[in-house]
Amino acid sequence: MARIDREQLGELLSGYIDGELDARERQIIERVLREDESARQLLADLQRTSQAISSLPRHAAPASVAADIQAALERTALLEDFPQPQAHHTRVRSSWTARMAMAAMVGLVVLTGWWYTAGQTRRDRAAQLAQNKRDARQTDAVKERADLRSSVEESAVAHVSKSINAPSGGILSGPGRDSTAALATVEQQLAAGVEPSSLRGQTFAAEPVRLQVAVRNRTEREAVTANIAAALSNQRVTDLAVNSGWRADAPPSDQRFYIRGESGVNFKAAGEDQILVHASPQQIDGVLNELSASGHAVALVAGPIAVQGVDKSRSVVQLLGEQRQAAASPAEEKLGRLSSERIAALADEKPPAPADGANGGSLEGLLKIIGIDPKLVDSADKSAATESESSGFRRNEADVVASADDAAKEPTVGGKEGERVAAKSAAPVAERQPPAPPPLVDRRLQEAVGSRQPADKDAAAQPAESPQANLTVVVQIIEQSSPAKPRDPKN
Amino acid sequence: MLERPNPGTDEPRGRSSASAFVEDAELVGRVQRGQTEAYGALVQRYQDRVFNACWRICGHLEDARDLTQEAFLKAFEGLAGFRRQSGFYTWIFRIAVNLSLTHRRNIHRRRTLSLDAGSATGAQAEELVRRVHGESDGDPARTPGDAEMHAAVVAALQGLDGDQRAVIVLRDIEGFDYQEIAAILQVPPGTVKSRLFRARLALQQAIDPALSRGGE
Repeated sequence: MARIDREQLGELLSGYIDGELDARERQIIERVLREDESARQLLADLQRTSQAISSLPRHAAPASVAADIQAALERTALLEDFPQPQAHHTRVRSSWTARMAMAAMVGLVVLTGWWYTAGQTRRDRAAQLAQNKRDARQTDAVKERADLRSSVEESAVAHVSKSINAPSGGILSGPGRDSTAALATVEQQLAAGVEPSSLRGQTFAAEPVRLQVAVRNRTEREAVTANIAAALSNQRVTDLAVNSGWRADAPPSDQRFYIRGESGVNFKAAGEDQILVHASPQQIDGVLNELSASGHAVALVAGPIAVQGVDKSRSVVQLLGEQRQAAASPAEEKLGRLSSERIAALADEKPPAPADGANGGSLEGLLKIIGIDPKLVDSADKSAATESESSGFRRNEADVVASADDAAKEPTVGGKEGERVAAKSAAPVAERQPPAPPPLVDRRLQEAVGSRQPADKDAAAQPAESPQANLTVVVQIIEQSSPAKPRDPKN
Repeated sequence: MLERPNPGTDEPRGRSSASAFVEDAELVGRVQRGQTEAYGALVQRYQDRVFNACWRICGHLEDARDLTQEAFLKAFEGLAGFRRQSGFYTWIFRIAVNLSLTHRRNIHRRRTLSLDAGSATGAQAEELVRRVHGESDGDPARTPGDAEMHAAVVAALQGLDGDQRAVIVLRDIEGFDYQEIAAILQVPPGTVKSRLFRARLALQQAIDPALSRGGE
């Protein structure tokens, strides 16, 4: 037998323990074991070690694993045509301070409305529309169709504008008028020989919008889930959802909302730490009302969840922390609306506005929270927002970002992050560079409410190239674990 | 809704049976044909083993949960291109082990104290975790001596480098044979053999005092 060194002997002994030796190797090692006391000792040591490892307790996978996988898969299926917050995702993963900052943010709710179709830019659409109009001049019949098309599309735009400006705070409410779906229906009917004039004034089905909630941990997830379930069980909500294709007859437990939460600061993928609700606009309204009424601080942010959202979120966290304490006072009733007013007052450093109608005020208040001048929304229905309006928004945005400096003192926000925010707030907006997406709040809103042309250079550069120009409205549900000291809104 | 496997088909540790292999292939085929609910059966079948492997490699229960989910999601994403030349379990473990090793490399600098990471308090932490989870390790005869030894073993395990830890976990905890480990880690069987020996030797040296006390 050839001599074997200790390394080879050890490997053979290890294989002997595991029953992985062939017949020849087994003969060799058994002979060595008979003759060599140190080999026997080594074998015993290896066996004891192996047994010690094998005896370690095992845990069953948490019950939530399978459910979360299912939720993630279904969410992926729902979002496959939905722009993902990649920049945010990357930042959160790559930066510990960003994780800490994100840990301060309890929830994000994404409400996605509709705008023009995915995969076709507005520029393409405009060109197509222009081409259609040129073609329409060729024959009366074609012209009639093109006119109808424009009419439908414009009415869809007008509807979106109207919805956003609805005094009830209804966000894209009404029996949706997705322009793409409407146009497709019109085209189908025309192709089938339906008289174009007979289509005017008809209502067309819309695709449901999506509500997405991010939570920081399981407790929050359960709380938000309960609230959403309550909202979806509201008869008013489900009844109104019939036109959207929502399963009005299904119990809340069968409605499709998707949940995935992470614990603590393990906010590894903000894009995944979300609850996604496939819901109608009416349901979204219902959910927002329920969340507000149940004491969740709700803020509205337009634009995608993006890196700059971290800054905004921190400032909003601060404000909402104050709001939350105020809202916790038993003397205060009408929690949600009062909260919005309080937040609005804090955000604008102005006394709270008087409450308006029965359902009113929420949208305006929420817009104020994030520094969006509601006038910008109002005026957008009339024409493209002016540069001064855009600047006004930016000024407000800067104020909000600047207030994040205070939030940077919170233990959940790292020093570097605070420095970054401070630097960012001090820098001119135009100098802010990628990878942070350009502030989209004003642009998105301007687009959404019917501005035919973006108001600033950023906006001019982006949406035309974007493969998807959906209106995106982000609603944040924010709950601060250590609320900041309340500020007196009168001061 | 994800499909649940038949009760009582809990797979033992180690090599999957031929029937399990066939069932896996059938489930994979169904998923590839668009019956995504079949993926639930695959998840249910392997989630415990994958979770434990991730846990012992990364050293943290909560991270193991995330890694398990991530592994299954990655596997699902890649299922369209899965040619079934190897078993699904090999594939899912390959993904899970790679994720766990990568995760551990990335986080080691930020984790200063972990409830269940290898440390002098590892066994107590495990017990605490079990209480929190309302779970039992199925060992009614568990004694403080066991706890001490487990703590030493966990600490020693976490002291190994990633490659050695992975091979130990796959062999001594999950019970895979050398060929399967080689397939999962994508290394030659000879490498598995040598890593395993070195890992056991290192563990033996690290936990020898505890083992000696346990044997007294």
